[in-house]
Amino acid sequence: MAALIVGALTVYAAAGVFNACAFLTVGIGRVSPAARGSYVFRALLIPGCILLWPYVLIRWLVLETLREGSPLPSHQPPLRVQQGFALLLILAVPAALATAVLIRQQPPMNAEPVQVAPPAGAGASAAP
Amino acid sequence: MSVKFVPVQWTANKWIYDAALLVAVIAYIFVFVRVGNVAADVTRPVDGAVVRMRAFGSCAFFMLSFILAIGPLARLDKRFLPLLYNRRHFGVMTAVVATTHAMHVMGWYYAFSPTNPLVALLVSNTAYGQLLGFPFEALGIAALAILAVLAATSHDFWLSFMTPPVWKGLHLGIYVAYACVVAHVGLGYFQDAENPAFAVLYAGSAMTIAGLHLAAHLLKRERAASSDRWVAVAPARAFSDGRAVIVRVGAAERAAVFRIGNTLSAVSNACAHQNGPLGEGRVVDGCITCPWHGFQYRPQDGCAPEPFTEKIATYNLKLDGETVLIDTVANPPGTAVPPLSLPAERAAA
Repeated sequence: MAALIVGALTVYAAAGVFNACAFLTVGIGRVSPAARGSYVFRALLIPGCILLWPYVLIRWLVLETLREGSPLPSHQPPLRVQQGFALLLILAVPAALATAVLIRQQPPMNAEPVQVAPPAGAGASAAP
Repeated sequence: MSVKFVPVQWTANKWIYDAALLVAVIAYIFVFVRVGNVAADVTRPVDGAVVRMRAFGSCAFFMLSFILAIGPLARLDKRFLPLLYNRRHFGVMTAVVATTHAMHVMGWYYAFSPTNPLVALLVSNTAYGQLLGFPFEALGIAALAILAVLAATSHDFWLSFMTPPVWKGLHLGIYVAYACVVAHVGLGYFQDAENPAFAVLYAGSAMTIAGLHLAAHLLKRERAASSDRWVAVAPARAFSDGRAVIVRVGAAERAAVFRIGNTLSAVSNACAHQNGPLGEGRVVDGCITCPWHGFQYRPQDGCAPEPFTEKIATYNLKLDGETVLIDTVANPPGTAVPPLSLPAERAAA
């Protein structure tokens, strides 16, 4: 299972590299006027193009074909959603700390070792 | 203000901010490793590689804590606002420090094995069904993945490409990352730590962050409790020429009311570039100028002057006696609104 996950991530990253090459050489100038004639900054976009390549591809397609007509509500960033995330953090942090403290084991310090007896009848069969 | 993207938009303040941050990180790692190495001789159970691992890990934790403290601190007290302006570079540096921590972990615990290190990392502990001995590494991987995505999408281009609401929504992942990091440390290193100073710093930092967000949330609720369609901004004489008064126009939005000569105009307080605080800027050459990157807008319609294309929302104003009132419902970005004229005797002060 772990090998499958790592393999899938490798394929995902390889596809991301291919997408980054295509988008940063061809697509970016077509969908972003501010990127035309500007090349050095594109190197900084490579990690994002690899990590989020399906989104980049979809967004590229949308900007190429649909050409969003109405301005998006950029004056109304999702601050209400941010409040929800902040409340989750307010609850999650104490919960994580309490869990960490509760499950923490405190072995007795400098305790004398104790000889543990084997279960009845297990001694003979356990011998090599 | 630029029509083309550049790698990094540095200003003098940003150079100072970034330099101070870099020096602080290097100093922290240096001191941690020096102090840790003293305790890590052959008779002690801690190796130098583990000390370095903990140095970068704890540094990333405290950096992330600091980042998450900046927002509520700035909301509670405006004196913290300068810390907010370069938070993005802080975040990228945190992702780099966290990645270094992860590389030390991989290089120490999973090196020299025929098994792929990433596979070994995922299969070394699969006890997801129990809290005691929970594979805390998974929480660290999740946090690191989020930090990597946030750092990778921190350039201005992504804000424009994704649109501000999507970009902002994606970057709310910082809250999830922090919760994962707190649990990662709590279920991991905290279970074995014998140093009480670490426990105090770790729990104190995390609870401080939770407390600050709670305080900022309660303050916001209190401010939003009494909201009508038209709300008072300030007396007419309170406006300084070329400057703004910032006013809350709903549970989460703010508007900036600028005085230009004897007229008033109101626009969204959030710059279309990076949601910078326009109300803290001033009027330059007849245009509202963002204090972060110098983006400019005409006061009367919220449009950037040619050849720029950015637009921000505008608001309607009216006078009620001596008091300036603002309509809390924003006009669509770029909507022209006639400036509100102030009678000379009211504006004179």
